[in-house]
Amino acid sequence: MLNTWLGYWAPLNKIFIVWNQFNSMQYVKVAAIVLILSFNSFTSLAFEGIGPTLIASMSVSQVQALSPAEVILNLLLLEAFGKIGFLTGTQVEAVIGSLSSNGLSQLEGEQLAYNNNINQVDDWTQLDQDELNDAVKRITGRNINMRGVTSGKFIGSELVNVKYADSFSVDNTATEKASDSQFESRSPAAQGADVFRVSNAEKVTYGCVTFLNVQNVDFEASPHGVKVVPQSRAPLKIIDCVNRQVEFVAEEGGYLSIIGDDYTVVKGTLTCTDGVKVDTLQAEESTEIHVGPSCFECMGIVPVGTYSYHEPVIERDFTVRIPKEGKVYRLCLRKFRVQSFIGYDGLADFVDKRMDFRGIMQYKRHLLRGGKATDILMETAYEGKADVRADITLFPEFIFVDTVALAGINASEAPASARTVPSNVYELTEEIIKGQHKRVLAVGYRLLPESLAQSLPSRYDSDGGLPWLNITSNVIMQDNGRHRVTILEPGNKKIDGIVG
Amino acid sequence: MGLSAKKRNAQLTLMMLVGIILALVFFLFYLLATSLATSITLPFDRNAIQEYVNNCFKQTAEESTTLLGKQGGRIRLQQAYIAAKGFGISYALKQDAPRIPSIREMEEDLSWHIDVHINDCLKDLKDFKSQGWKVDAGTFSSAASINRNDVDFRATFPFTVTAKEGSLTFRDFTIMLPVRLEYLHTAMGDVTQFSLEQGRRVDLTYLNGQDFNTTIFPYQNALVYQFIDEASAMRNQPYEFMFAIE
Repeated sequence: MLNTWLGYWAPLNKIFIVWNQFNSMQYVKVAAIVLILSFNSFTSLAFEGIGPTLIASMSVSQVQALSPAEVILNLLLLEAFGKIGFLTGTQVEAVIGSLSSNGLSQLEGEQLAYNNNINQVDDWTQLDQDELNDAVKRITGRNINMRGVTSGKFIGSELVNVKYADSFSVDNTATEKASDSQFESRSPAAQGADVFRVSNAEKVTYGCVTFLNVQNVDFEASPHGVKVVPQSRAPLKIIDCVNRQVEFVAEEGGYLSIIGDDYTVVKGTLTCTDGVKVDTLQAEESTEIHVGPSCFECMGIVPVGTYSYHEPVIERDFTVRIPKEGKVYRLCLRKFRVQSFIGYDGLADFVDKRMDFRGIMQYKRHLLRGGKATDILMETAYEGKADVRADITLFPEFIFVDTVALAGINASEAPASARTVPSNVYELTEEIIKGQHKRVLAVGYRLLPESLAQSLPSRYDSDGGLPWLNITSNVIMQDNGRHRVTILEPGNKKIDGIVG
Repeated sequence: MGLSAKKRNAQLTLMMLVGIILALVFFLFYLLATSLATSITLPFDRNAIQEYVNNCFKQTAEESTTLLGKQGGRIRLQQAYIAAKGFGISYALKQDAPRIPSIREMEEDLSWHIDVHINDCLKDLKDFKSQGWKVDAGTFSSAASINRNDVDFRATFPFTVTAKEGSLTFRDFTIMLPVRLEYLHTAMGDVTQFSLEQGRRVDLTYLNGQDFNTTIFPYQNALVYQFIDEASAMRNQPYEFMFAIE
């Protein structure tokens, strides 16, 4: 009977098709409904009361009893009478591509989730946002909240591609104004972490950590931390939980992992800015960094890795590089008097103005002329080449070095144990030559006087059994109390007195 | 008036006396200086004559040894060297080729230089002739012998001096200079070898163990070593030994 009278409504199919072509023209539709209802009154008389009135009064079970063909034939009326939400997932699957915005807005989460019906919706803005979120929750089984999503696509139950979302959040991770992003729930490839692949986002947050201007970055978020995997060398700005300004640049295959105040940098460069002072860690392999109130505190640098300190007075800048011959190096930075560290390999003590380096590492500084840096590049000032210790005491201005004191030279059996470069004129090495411990000096005797840099240290000492060296204005003097060895720099005025 | 004239006369007389005394003093000084410069009064005595020649021998040997030290063990600079004021610093190492003179070459250079320059002091024994003595001299020929702690110089210089008192004949002269040339030469060799093997670097451990002061400086694209040996002092001056490493 129902099929019979519905058959009289067949001509309306054509109207319905045209109808959907105007699905964005709400006023036109309302006018059409009025017309249809008027027509309904007329046909009801002609066809014994069968028509839109019946659809309008249909219950959920009646609607769900409709065959696919009936649903299609009466889709317009179902939409008009707000019956789309009564349809089963299967029914929706058959007609979802033909739904108008009115019909789409009536879809419920369960209908959208059924067999990933949502994938057939090109414009997610037409969907009810709560129902959309409900659908996503049903599909993924996760408490995902999205707002302002333009469109997307699910692949299975774990992966959703989002064309654009004003916001997208899962647990404590969220993206804002993200386009072309992908969410993979509990990815096996990421050890069960949620993976966000963001092509472009104004902001991504993980708990209290904010990532700004995100471009082509994958985030692997788990309850205990987040792994950030940039797919390009574009700098990623980060504001951490205590408002530290951090920036990460990854090399190929590089990433950054953040667990509380512990950062792990793999093949990349992490920069932390505290006022005018900047800590930078460049990891060719990996480095674990514990950050404190004033950026970096202690680092475990896997060779090759470089820590750099920068400030506006660049003459104070320095770097500590762990070369490939080195072992994992624990470098700590003492920035407050109350801080004390144990078990470190290297300590840069900003409070007491000294550097304490053990083992294989390189300490680099700017060459100085007239107290000013001669170049933006830094040169090695000291290099530990074996298990020796360098105690480098700086003057209070934190530029020039009072003393370089080396310990462990005599005990070292390495062919070369330490290299100290007071300026670009000299290079002092402690090494074993033909079985004998030697202090050896290389002199840049071809340098022009005008190209000389100032000597950084005033005193050099080692426990190799030799007297300490006095270094004054690039004149080195080794005095054992009986005899002296004096080395003059190129252009020293005393040279004219000797050669006439 | 009369009293005033007397006073003026007395003052004039006093000034004249002072002037005369000063003139006499200057004249005496002139005579003394002239006589010292032009002639030496020598006793006709074997020891005095021997001493005179020995002094010349020593003075010349000192000059030769000084020059040899400043020039890195060479007096005759036949190969490239670094020009300095009044001398040349020879290369102990140049273009990876050691050029250290042997002890024998140093001895020969010393002997040669002394033989060439001895007459600058002896002046054909003019001082003897000016005594009214007759001098009959042969050729001066010296030989240096470099030892670890000194240098021996032996010279053969046959000459006879004849005066009214008789004749004195001389032939062999020997002096010794406390210059540790062999020691310094060995040090130069060690430094050069290390420089050759270690890229021109300076062995501060080795130099710390040496019994002399060292000054090292860059000069004309080379590294110049200056050994200053207090134990080899001549004329109260420490001995200076210089060479260049390129």
